[in-house]
Amino acid sequence: MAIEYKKNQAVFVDVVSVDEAETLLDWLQNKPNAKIDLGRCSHLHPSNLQVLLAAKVSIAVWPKDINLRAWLESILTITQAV
Amino acid sequence: MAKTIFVVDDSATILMSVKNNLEIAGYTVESAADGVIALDKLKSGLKPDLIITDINMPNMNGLELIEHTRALPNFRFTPILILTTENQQSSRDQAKKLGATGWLVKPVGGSDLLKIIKQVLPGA
Amino acid sequence: MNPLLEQFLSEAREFLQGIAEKLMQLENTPDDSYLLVELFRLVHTLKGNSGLFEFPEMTRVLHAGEDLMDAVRDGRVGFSQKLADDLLDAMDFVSVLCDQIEQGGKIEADMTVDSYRLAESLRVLMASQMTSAQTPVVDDAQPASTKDTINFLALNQLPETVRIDAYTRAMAGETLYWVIYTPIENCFFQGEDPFFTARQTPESLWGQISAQEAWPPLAELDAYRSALRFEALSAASREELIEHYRYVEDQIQLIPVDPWSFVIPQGNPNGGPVYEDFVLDALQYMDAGDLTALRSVAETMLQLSNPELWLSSALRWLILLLDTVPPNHQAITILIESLRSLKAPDWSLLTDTLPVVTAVAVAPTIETGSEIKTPVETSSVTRADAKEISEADALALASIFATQLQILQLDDNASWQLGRIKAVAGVLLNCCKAIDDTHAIAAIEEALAASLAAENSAPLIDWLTARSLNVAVVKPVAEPIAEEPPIGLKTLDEAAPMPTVEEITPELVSADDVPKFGRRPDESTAAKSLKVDQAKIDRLMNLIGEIVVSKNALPYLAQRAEEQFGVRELSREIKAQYAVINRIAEEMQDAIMQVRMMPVSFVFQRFPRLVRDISRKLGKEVHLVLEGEETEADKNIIEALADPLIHIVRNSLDHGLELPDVRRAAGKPASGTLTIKANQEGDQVIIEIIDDGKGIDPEVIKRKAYEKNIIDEATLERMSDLEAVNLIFAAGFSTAEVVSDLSGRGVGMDVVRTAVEKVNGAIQLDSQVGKGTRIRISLPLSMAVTKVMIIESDDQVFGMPMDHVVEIVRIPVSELTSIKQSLTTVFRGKIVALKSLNSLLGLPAEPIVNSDGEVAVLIARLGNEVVGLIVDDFHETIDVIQKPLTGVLAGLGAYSGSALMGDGSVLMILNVRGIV
Repeated sequence: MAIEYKKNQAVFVDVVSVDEAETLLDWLQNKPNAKIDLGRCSHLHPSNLQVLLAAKVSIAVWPKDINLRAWLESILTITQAV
Repeated sequence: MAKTIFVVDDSATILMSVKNNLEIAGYTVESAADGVIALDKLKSGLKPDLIITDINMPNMNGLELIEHTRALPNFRFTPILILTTENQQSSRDQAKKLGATGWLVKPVGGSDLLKIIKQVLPGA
Repeated sequence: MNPLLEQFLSEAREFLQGIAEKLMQLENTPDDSYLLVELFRLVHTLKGNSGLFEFPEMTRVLHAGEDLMDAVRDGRVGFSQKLADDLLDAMDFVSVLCDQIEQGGKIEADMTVDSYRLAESLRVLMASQMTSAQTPVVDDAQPASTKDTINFLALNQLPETVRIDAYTRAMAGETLYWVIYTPIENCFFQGEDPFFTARQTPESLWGQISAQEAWPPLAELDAYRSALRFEALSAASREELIEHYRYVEDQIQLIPVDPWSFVIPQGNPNGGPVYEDFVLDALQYMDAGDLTALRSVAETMLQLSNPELWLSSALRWLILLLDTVPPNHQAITILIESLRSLKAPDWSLLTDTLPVVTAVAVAPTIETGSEIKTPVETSSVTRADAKEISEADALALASIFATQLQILQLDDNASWQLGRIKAVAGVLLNCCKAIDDTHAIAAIEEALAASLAAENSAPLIDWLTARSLNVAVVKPVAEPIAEEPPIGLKTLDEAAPMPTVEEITPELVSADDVPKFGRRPDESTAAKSLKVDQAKIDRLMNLIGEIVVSKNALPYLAQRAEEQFGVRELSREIKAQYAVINRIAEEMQDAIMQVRMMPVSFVFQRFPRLVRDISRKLGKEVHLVLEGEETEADKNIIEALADPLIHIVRNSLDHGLELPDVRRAAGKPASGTLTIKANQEGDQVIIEIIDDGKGIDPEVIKRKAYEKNIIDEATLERMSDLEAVNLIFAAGFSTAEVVSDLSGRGVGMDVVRTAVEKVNGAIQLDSQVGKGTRIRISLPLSMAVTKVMIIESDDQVFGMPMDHVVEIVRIPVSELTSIKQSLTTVFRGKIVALKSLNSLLGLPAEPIVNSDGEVAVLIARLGNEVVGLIVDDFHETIDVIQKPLTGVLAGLGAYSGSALMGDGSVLMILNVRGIV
């Protein structure tokens, strides 16, 4: 399982593939205040990223992967700032 | 877990060569000799992480295979590389339109092939 | 050879065959688009395969062929005979290359020129036949990359450290690119992960993601419609970037970034005019050209300032600019000026833009031809051929003796040891008789007696050892032979299968992968068929042969148990066990035979090409019909069939079928029909070659045969038409008025007959003048097991293949009559010539007449004739596995082979045609 869904948090693990996006979208629709843990995530397919952006989620834990974090920060922080 | 790569080519020589390269690199390799066989396998439970297919094959060619594969819910997003000796822009465009991810012109060296696989297959 | 290359070669041959077939089918239906596509596919795949290896000659020609077929497939070039000819030539060339690779592992150096020539001729053909002369122009327009589109805003967002790094690299001569990647909406459905692609941008210094549009409410979001944009700053070359983004080339923009664009001071713009003094001082230093002082002032200022300030950032850049070698005074001045206004430096004022350190393209090192090796190997002169005959004989003898010694040294406990000893002694005695060595004969007989008495081979071994030493001393030539027989005589301990004697034509080589199982190592077929090396099947054959021989020893054992030891009970049990083993052995043998079966299509498949080429050459129109290609027979039979069939087909085309005009005049269709069909009848395979040509005139044949002394006058008159036309199979007969380039190469139809009979087949011809000719060849399904009758003559036993045996009779001497010095008798109302086997084999003994005054006569079939062989006695018939004679024995025409008997002795199988 590339996304572990907890009570109010989705934990992204390793590579989160394109197939996860629909489930993620459904889950976030029901949990508008959910947070995302990207700590153990090494990559996520942009479809998932789009869901996170549209849902304006807040990131509980940033990825340990520095490269991924840098890329994600460039858009996720901006969106959150808005 | 080892990624599974599905190689479709009517040339046993190419199959053998590609299979060797990929298996040495640690991938699990499945193969089929033409589009019909390939599609059968995809419909009967094989779920590769990547498909590599030739274009010119008997029974069902690679382009038809791509078209049919993309129509299967399980394979809407699976990367599909074309491995062929053809190199016509019109065919490339058509392949892309049908849902191919990339196009490799034979012969492809083992390391080049692996490089491209790593490019289209996150976590590979 | 590595398995991949092996696979390639075997597949290449299949493809070449397929290409030739398709080309020929296309000649009949040039518009068949399916065939065109198939043909293209085959050439294309073969080319692709060849590219896996370093065979540029092959790839070059195939590539040209592929392009040509591609043009034909697309209708740009029309299919023509010339095109088919040229492509067939090219494929023949490729086939030759395959042979070279198979034999020597490489392509001979002299093929390079030919490969260029062939490829060129295909390309010329293609160019000349282009129906529409327009080749599609590949528009390789790159995304615009003008400086105008530089996204300063984005550069603004880069951290200062990244920009400093980028600036430094740019100043060092690297070109930095700003990559803007805007994936198309449905890219996910093309299996893409644009984010992953962007993250892997080579030498990426920095990257960012932005949304192409505002996000809709979550409920309306289509997660699978890509709406992101990726940007990255990369220090990689343009080529690297284009390669990386090659599948989405149309979705990226590459913008070279001017190094000055990175110089953007950022920070808190506090302070304002406070720094006016600094700016003035700095400009003064600049005017004085004292950069060292300027740098020192800037550094002091920087230390006093809060690093978060815009000023600090600008100072850091100033120091960096000052440190750049060589420093750009104008740029420094601009930067200093910007401090005055606290606005971003206006780099558009800069006149000399880049301190151009253009990357010098590294000239590709040209491969020198120094590594080309000239083949200098000159084959050493073969020694055996150069010797005189006596020396050759000596060599042969020495090698025979060496082999006998090896036979004797085999395991001594075998139950057939006695038979083996006798056989060896027989060989030695005959050899010595041949060279009139009476001393040796006596010595051998002595040793034989001793060996038989002792039931071991030591005495004979001793004699042989002594002999070989002597020979070595007396005739030094023979010396090296004991270790390495050069005659090709296989030593027995080499378990390797006996080589097949037939000449194998190059095309036939591909057939070594017998049986023709499925050809793809693909799972869907892998479970059903295997591709097995011929050597493995030959080994099975040899082993089953040994089992058959070993099991045949059991009845002898049973007999001994009863007669010698008087244990009848044991004898019966042995016989019962024997029955079981016998059944299993027979089944196993049958199973192995099945494995060796291959379809006649293997031979038939070459005919379309052959018929096409020959008929073209002769100006004849021929329609070839092939039937029953799936009929199977033993591999050896099929292979033996190839050459005779080709000869017959050539003959039919050359002499049988008429020219179109002649045919029309005779009221026949202009195009002749040649039918080759195969089918199985019982345990025989029947192959018929039928043409509707002019037929054979029996009168012409008779006259010719008479002129050539093949028949006498009496026969001439007696002969039926059917018998007459079959005379063309007689030795030394050739009907062609003009010896043509095709068939009359001094090889007549008698060679065909000999070849067919060699595999125990029969050939028959019938013909109707004006209507056509039919040749019928019947062959055994398998030649591995031969049923032979054991006959005895002058105390020796021989095997006579049952195929030849018509009857065995005892005829009173009184009924034998001499006509013109040859013995004849009337048998079943026909006159049959009689010959004594002893005299045919050069044995001095007279035939034995039994107490009733009769001689034993074996009526043997010889093609369509019968002949009576006078022998001493008949014995049982047995199944044997016949082995061809090899080495010096191969030249003996009197025998078709040898077989091992259950008691270990060797049975020579007579070749009727060779002795009569």
